[in-house]
Amino acid sequence: MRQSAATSDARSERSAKLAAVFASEDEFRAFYERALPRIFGYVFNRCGGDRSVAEELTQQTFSEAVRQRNAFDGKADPLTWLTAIARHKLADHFRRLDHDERRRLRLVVREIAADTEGRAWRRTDQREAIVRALAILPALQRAVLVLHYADGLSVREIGSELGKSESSIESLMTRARDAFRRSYGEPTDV
Amino acid sequence: MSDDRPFDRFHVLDGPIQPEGAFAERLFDALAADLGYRPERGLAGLRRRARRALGLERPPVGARALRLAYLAAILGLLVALAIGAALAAGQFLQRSAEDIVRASQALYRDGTVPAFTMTIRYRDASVDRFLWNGAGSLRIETVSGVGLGGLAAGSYVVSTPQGRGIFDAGADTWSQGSGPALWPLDGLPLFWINHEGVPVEVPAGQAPPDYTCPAWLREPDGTVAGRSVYHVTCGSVGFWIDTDTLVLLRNDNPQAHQLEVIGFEPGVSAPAEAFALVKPPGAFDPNNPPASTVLAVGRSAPRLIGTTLDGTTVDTSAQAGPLVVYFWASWCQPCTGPQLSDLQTVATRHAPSVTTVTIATLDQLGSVTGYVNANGIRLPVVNDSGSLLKSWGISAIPALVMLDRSGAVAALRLGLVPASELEQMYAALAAGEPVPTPSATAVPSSEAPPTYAPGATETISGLAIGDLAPTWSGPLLNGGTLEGSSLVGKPTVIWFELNCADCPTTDLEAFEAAHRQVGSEANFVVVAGGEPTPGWTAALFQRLGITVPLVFDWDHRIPSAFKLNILGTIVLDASGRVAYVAPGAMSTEQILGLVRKLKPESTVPAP
Repeated sequence: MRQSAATSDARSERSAKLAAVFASEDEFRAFYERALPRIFGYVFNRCGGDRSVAEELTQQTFSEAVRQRNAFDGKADPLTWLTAIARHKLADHFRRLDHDERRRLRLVVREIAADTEGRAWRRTDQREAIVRALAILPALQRAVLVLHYADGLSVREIGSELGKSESSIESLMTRARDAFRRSYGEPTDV
Repeated sequence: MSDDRPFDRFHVLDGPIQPEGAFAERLFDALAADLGYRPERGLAGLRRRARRALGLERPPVGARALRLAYLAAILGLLVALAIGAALAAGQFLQRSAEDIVRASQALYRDGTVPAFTMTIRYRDASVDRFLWNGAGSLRIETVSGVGLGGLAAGSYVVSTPQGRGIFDAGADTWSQGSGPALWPLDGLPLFWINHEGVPVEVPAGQAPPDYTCPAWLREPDGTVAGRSVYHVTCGSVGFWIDTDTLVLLRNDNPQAHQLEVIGFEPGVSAPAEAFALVKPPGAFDPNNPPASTVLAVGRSAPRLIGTTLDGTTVDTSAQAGPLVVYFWASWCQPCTGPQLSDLQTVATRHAPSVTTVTIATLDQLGSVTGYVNANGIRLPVVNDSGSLLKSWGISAIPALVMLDRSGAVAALRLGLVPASELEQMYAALAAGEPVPTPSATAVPSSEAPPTYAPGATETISGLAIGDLAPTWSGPLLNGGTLEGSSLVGKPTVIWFELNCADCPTTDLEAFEAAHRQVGSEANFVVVAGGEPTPGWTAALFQRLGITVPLVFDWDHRIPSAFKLNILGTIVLDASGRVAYVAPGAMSTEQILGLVRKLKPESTVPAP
């Protein structure tokens, strides 16, 4: 009972926090400037480092947040809430991308060789290397990797996010890990 | 080996990144406007104010009644839009893949495909044009290359509910078969047949079963031959269907006929006569051809120049006295043997007042010299690839042409001429008298004797295209008996050959090559008239690695049953009807082309 009351208190506190965020333009700008790099960074790193895609997803995330601001239930921190919206947008993006890829590639599993370019990536910074290695994976493989390893989602949660069964996420994960290792360039068996 | 190291570093993906300032400002302005912080300016502001005025703008929080009204308005608007769109664009605005396939297949099954002209290029680069009149008649023209199963450019096939006709531009013949096509669109290389790599038995008067798929998928529309097409797929198999007419324009089924539609127009520009079963002017019936399309008794013959095997030049215009020209070939059994030796006897008797020249035509030099040396032929022999035969328009061999002193045609005879008659003709020619015409041309009786029909005028066979093959059987080289009836169900290529010791083996090897490439999709049979010594054929087959079944025909009953006048190749379709007749052997490419045409769904490789 106490705990539930405490949770309820926390929720209303967070709701008030979000309401404060939208209270005035100045308040909103302060929140926007704090949240924008986080959201943009979140989608940019996960969508394969494509700036225009990242901008599009960022815009969708903020617009959705503005539309949904009254539905905010205070279960999470406003920034976490915004990140969850971004995750939905990212999952939608991956699903669309996967659909396009299927059309183009008909389930042909891409074989990515660890070429000289791949080895050169290791000289650039680690984040960029991961982003670039991810960028050449098929959309769904990219999706399961970032949702699992970066966002810490379980297989079940990834399945519900992408609209797929747990078993298909598991096999996707296996393929994605292999493909990522090849594209990231380590370990190499050459 | 599993290694999770790279995945442990995924937390770096959470690091913040500052987007471009311009983007950040633009987004902020839009959000601030949405949140109502900004006075609304410009076009965007105008639009927003208009939306609000129309009740489309989201109302302020808490105005429940307004919100309901808003929802109802939006819902009503959506319903109205959906109905309007459906009415305006009709039910086919967003056709599903199944709808498209079903509608297209129905056209083919029912023969209600609208008229069209379609140009097709095959893998061997030959081009055919298909004209479908939309009412059961199809005209297929060879535009270039060896189309229509070995027919030259300019040839065409007309298939109508009343029957079929074939114009062979190379031989200038028109042959007509009775009986309707088995299926209205029989002859089209692209239709919705259920391939799956299995030959389909099509009952008479019915369409082949349609291609079925558990889950059709509609892909983005594309273009084929400049036409906009629906693209539907079933697994790895794709079909492209003209959006306007629903005619199939491409099929990348690996089992399908490998071809490319390079032109497609709805409607047919050809006149109605193009689909009529009428002999084109100038063409002749291959079953009853004139002896020559060029020569006529009493008129001068065009000049012929050739070189004999011993290097002497023969020029018909440079002859002082009467000239006899005899066309033959080593593969032509009636032409050789007694007929050639009779000719030599009579010609020698009348030399030098009458000059005699023989022309071995449509033959190979090795076979000609082999025959001449083996049989003691002393008459001058010109080896002709076929051009001399053609320049005189001779429609069949053996052919005997007599020119008088003035170079005019005194006699023109096809078929066998008995020695006594030959003597009378030579005597008349030498004396400058009219050469007697043949007394009475013997017509082959229905109980064909075990010899070639004497005096018959048929070029190759008395059977017409579309005629049912006779019943026949014969002993196989490797033991057992081959029944002709066992070959029905697949196209069958029967090559009647002489099987002589001096014959080159290239024709046999070409036949074997076709047999191997076609595999089990068609039957191949060699019918041999005998062998020089017992066991000779078996040894030859073993030496050359020939696997084609060979039937021995000691008394020539099989060529007689097929009403053959000269040795040649007969191709039967899967229903056991004559589809093609050729003199002598056919090339591997010709055979492959024919089998492809007879089995559009076949996987026979293009040469």
